[in-house]
This record gives sequence, C-alpha cells and structure tokens, in this order.
Amino acid sequence: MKALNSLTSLKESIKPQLVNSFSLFFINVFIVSYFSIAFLWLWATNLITIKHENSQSRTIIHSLSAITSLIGLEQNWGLFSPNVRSDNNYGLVVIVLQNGFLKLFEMPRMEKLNVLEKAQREKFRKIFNDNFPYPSFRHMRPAFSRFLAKVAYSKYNPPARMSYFLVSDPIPPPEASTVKIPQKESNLHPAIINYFVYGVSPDDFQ
Amino acid sequence: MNKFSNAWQRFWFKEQSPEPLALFRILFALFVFQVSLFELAPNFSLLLGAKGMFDTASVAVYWWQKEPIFNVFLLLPQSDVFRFGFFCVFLVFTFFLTVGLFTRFSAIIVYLGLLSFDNQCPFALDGGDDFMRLIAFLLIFSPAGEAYSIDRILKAKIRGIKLKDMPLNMVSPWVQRMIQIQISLVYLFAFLPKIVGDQWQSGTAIYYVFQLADFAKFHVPKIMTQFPLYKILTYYTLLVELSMATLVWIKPLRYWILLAAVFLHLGIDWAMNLPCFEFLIMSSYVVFVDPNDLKKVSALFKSLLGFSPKQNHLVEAKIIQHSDHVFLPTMLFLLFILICGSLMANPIRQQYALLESQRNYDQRLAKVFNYWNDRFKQYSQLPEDDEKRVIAEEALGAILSLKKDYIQSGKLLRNACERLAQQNKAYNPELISALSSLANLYLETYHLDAAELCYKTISNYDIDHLEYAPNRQSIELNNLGVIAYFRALLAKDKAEQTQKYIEADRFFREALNKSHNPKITSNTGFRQIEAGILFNQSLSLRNLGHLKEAQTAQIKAANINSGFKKPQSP
Repeated sequence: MKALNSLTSLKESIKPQLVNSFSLFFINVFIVSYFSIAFLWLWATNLITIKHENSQSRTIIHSLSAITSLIGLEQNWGLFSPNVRSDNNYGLVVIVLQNGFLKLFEMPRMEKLNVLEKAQREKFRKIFNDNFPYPSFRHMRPAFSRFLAKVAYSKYNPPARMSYFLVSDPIPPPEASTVKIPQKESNLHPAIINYFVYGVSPDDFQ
Repeated sequence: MNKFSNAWQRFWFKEQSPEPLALFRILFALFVFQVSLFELAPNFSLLLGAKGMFDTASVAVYWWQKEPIFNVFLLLPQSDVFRFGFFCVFLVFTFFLTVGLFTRFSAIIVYLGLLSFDNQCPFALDGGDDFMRLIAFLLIFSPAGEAYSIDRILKAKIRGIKLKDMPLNMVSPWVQRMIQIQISLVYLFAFLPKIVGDQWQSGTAIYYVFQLADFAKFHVPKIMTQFPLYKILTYYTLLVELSMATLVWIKPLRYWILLAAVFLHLGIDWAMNLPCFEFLIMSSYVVFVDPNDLKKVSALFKSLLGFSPKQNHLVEAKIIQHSDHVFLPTMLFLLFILICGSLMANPIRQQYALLESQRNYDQRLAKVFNYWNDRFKQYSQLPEDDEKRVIAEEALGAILSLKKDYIQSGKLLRNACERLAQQNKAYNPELISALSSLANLYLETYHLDAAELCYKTISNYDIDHLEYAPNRQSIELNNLGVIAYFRALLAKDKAEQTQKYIEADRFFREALNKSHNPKITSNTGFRQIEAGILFNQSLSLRNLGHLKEAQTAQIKAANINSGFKKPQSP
C-alpha cells in the first residue's frame, strides 16, 4: 500500500499540464485527419464503384493517394457491391509450345479444393478470379506470363504463345422468386472469353 | 461550443480501463499470426518472393506508380533468404505483440511488416488485409500493453512489487474509440454501395452469393437458397450492416446489435471462404464492450474454471496513465521511418522503371509488328508464292493475332497456308507452323470446328509424311483433345459436357499411346510433351470426377518434369 501511495504521488508530480495539452492538440489533429482521409477515400472509391467513372472522385483519390499510400490508409469494404457477380468463372490458359503443342493451365479453382486448401489459397482466388481478367489488371498480365513461361520452359520446346480465357458459367435466376431480374438470353449460356494473348520472347526466360 | 468541447473531451479522453483494448490486442495479434503462418508462409515465394508470380519491377511501375511506398523488401538485398528472414522477424514480433512484450515497438514492426507485404502483393488484398493494416497502425499509439502483458509483469518487477498489487492504470481511450469508429466505417461503406444494387434491393443478393462456387466453403442447405429465406437473409445483412454503423452507438441496443452481427458473420463464415475477415472483425467487437461488463464476464469464467477471485485480483487505482505524451514522438518516429524508407527505395524503383520500360510488352509487340510490316511491304512486289513473301505474310499474320486483329491475321495466315501448300517440298514444317497459327486463331475466336479442321489437316499431312515427322502425331491428337475440352466447357448441359470430356480423355490417351514410341521417349523434349499430355489428361479426368486417376496422371507428369528445375507453380 505504501508503494502504491508513493507511486500515486510520483505520477501526480510528473503530470506536466503543458506537455499534456500540447500532446492532446496533436492527438485531436490526428483523429480529425485520420477520419477525414478515411471518409473522403471511402466516399470517392464508392462513387467510382457505383458510377464507374467519376472525375471528382478520381481527383479526391489522387490528392489523397500520397498520404494513403505512404501510411497504408487505403480501405475498401465494397465486397458484393453494388451487385453480386451473377456468374461462376475461372481462368484457363492455353500455352502454345514452339512445335504447336497445346498445354492447358487452369488458374486455381477453389471449388475443387478441400476446406483447408481453400483457406490456404484464398489469395490466389483474389488474384485470379477478382483481379486478373479485368481491364484494371492488364498491365500485370505480362509479368505473370513471364513467370508462366519460365514454369513451362523446356530447352527443346519452349512456350511461344499464351492465350488467356475466362470460362464463365452463368448462375440461373432464383426459382419461385416474386421478383424478376432482367437477364439477357445470351448471358444464360456458358461462355469462354479470350481476354489476353501473350507472345513469348526469348528474353522472358532469363 | 463549450458543450461540444466537453463532449468531445469526454468521448475521446475520459479515462477508462485498458482491458478491452488489451484483450483485443491479443486476439488481433493471434489472427495476424494465423494469417501469416497459414496463408502467407506456404505461398511465400509465389506471393512475396523475389522471383514470385509478379515481379517487383512490374508492381512498382504499374501499381505503385509514382506514389511514396514503404516496403521493407525494397531495402533488403533482392533475395528470398533476406525476405524470408524479415518474415521470420515479423513473426517473432507478432508473437511479442500477442504476449505484450515491448508492446508499442512490436506493434510498429507488425505494422511495417503488414504494410510491406500488402505493398509487395497489392492485388491479393481483401478486406481482412486492409483491416489488419489499419488496426496495426492504430495500435501503435494505444496503451494496449497496459493489461494482460509481459510488459506489465516487467514493470511490476522493476518496481519491486507483486503483480497482484500492481495498480491497473486508467488510460484515455481515444485509440479504442478510433477503432470503434473505424469498425462502424467498415459497415457503413459495406452498406452504402449495396443499397443502389438491383440484387440487394430485390432481395436476391444472398441467393447469388450462395451460388458462387469460388467462395463456397461448407454445404449450404438448399432451403437457404430458396424463397423466402434468401430474401430474409439479404435484408438481414443490410439491416445488420446499417445497425453496426449507427445503432451500435446507442448503449442499450449495443449488445443486441453485436450479437446480431456475430450471427451474420458466423453464417458468412460457414457458407463462404473468407478465412481472415470474419473472425477478425468479430474479435474487434471486444472494443465495444464496457470494461465493467468485461470484468463480470471474466469473473464468471474464472468462477466456472474454479479460480478464486482473489488469485488474479488486480488492484485498480484511479491512476491515470499519461501515455498520450508518447503520441507525438511515436508519430514522428514512425513518419521518419516511413519517409526515409520510401526515399531510400527510390534508386531501386528507378532501376525497376528502367527495366520495365525496356521490356514493355506493348512496345515490344509494336516493334516486332513494325519490323514484319515493313518486310511484308518490301516483299509485296514479289510473286505471291515467293518464299520471302510467304514467310513475311505468315509472321505478320501471327503478330496481328497477338494484337487481336483477327480478321486481318486470318486473311494473311490463310493466304500463307495456301501458298505453302502449293510449294512442292518433300516436307514443309513452315506449312505446319502456319496451320498451327491459324488453328490458334480459330481457338482464340471460339471457331472450334475450324480449329479442329486445321489440326486434322496437320495430322493427315504428317501421316502422309511419316518418314519426316514420326513424332508429331501425338501433338495433333493432344491438340484435338484440347478442342474437345473446350467443347466440354461450352456444353449446354451436363450430359453433353461429360461426353465431351470423355472424348477429350480419349484423344489424350491416344496421344499418350503415340508418344510411347521408343524413338520419341529417348528425346527429352518429347518426354516433356508426354508430361504435357498427362497434365492435360489430368484436367479432363478431374472434371469427369475421376480424382484418383487425375492425381496419378499429375504425379506421372511431375515425375517426368522432375528432372527440370523450375519455379513452383500456383
């Protein structure tokens, strides 16, 4: 108890009001800045998600991006927004070797994995299902193609070309529903979409 | 104004027990540990390695662009040994954060680690990664080590008092409040973009969510995907998200809303494979729990476990921990590290920019196109069957198909095939090359019949010239198998699909039989073709549900390939 009392008095004596209010000022500035940035960022990114193109939102994101990139304040909570994907899809690559041989390479298919494998490979799902086929990712496709070219490399018969396909299977609209979701007839059949072709160069194997 | 100022002061700075925050620190660090060990470590070289799936030069140029970025990997020698070394250091400090040893410093290392991993592989991030990084950042400024920590034990030892006599310092809860508001922001911005969506408005969104094969985890009973349950679940999701953003701030409603959110996340976790986010966000609800309620729960657990309340009794005194004064130095230290780290990485980022500009794919393609276009123009005066002109025509046709100008490409390639077929050569490999290019073009434009015709033409040509091409038949049979595989993918019903996969499998088996020619198997290049056929076959077998046979084919392919050292494939 004696120790406790002496500790209390020590604490009281080292309570410099000036330092405290000085710190509090910066803490307040930090709180306001953090949430201003977070709110503006989220508002702008959501407008882009909803409206696809919004120049004001892009200006906001651009002006905030230096600070958000440096500290890592980017955030996005728009999973399944504004709508849930209405098809099941996965990636398929046809690797054409120099002698014309076609080699299939399937991007990771989560539905073929067990629960543990699914959890372990979630990052691959994110990359190959949510990002890879979409235009915003187009600049990164050559980087993956170079990696794949190295994986499929053989001195005698190296890869010459890679064709990337998205195999898409539409989800039928819900049965016995009171609501009718407009869906184009052509969208109700399985489809293969060729979204990228890469010509392999000898430099890619280095 | 004074009222607002007082309310502001009370909300952010009115002292309270650090226990909810400390408990959250433990749960949070455990989740970081689990994600790192379970998701990152097994895929480290692919996702974060120096020779990973996406090289750093491309990430630097196309993703980071000109933004300042902190990434420890840029400051280390470009080798997996150093990268994995840092990852191990990160794991050690995550453990320290869990047990509360050097808590603030450990939080800084964990934050810098998460920031580096996220920057290194930014396209693999999901909500869980964003949430972890933001929380790690906020925890740096928090007094999360004031309870349930080794730091506390050490402090007691230094002061020469027993832990049970050590007063539990009261702290100002502004970081806890920030985490609470951040959680509400998560739900608010999960809710807002949904309400404009047709599926969310019509109540069918959850039906579609349950049908997504790549997200599916455990079996969802069929009744859940039927009317009216999917509609109820859709609106329940929206209601909980809105409540977590708003009503959770009303004290009497808080625990009910948290409970509803826990049910929502448990349901999502059952149905969907989102390995990190669900439990992480549920664990964060502890920051909403009143410290007195937390004590009651803790006392209840202790009594259930048979501990007497005296054993873990903490003396609580009204001592206010003025740890807020460390905010400014900590923030300045952190900004110093981030800015210095970003500036120090500039030379290597410039090197990456140079490397990427040299290998820019579009520029490379344009260069090759210009070369062959000039050649073709140059030779266009020559007779149509002139060898130089035909070669230029074929090359230009192949390049145009890479540029996806399929109409022009098809014209040139068909022309080249005709001219090459008219040449009176004993065996013409260039004709096969032109036909293969044409077949690729048809495959890429989904003209499967035309592609099949090309491969059959090559096959017939090879049979006629067996003395020159004894080992090509397996290639064409394999390629016909690939066409059948594509037909299966486009099949309109399950029966047709199965039939096409069986057809593909038959082609692959025939291709394997042909490749078992002793002349072929002695050639390493064709051993790899055999491996390729086996791999293609494994895919069709897997789609037919013959999992064991598929696995055997894959193992055989891997055994053939084992002589070649390659990067691991995802």
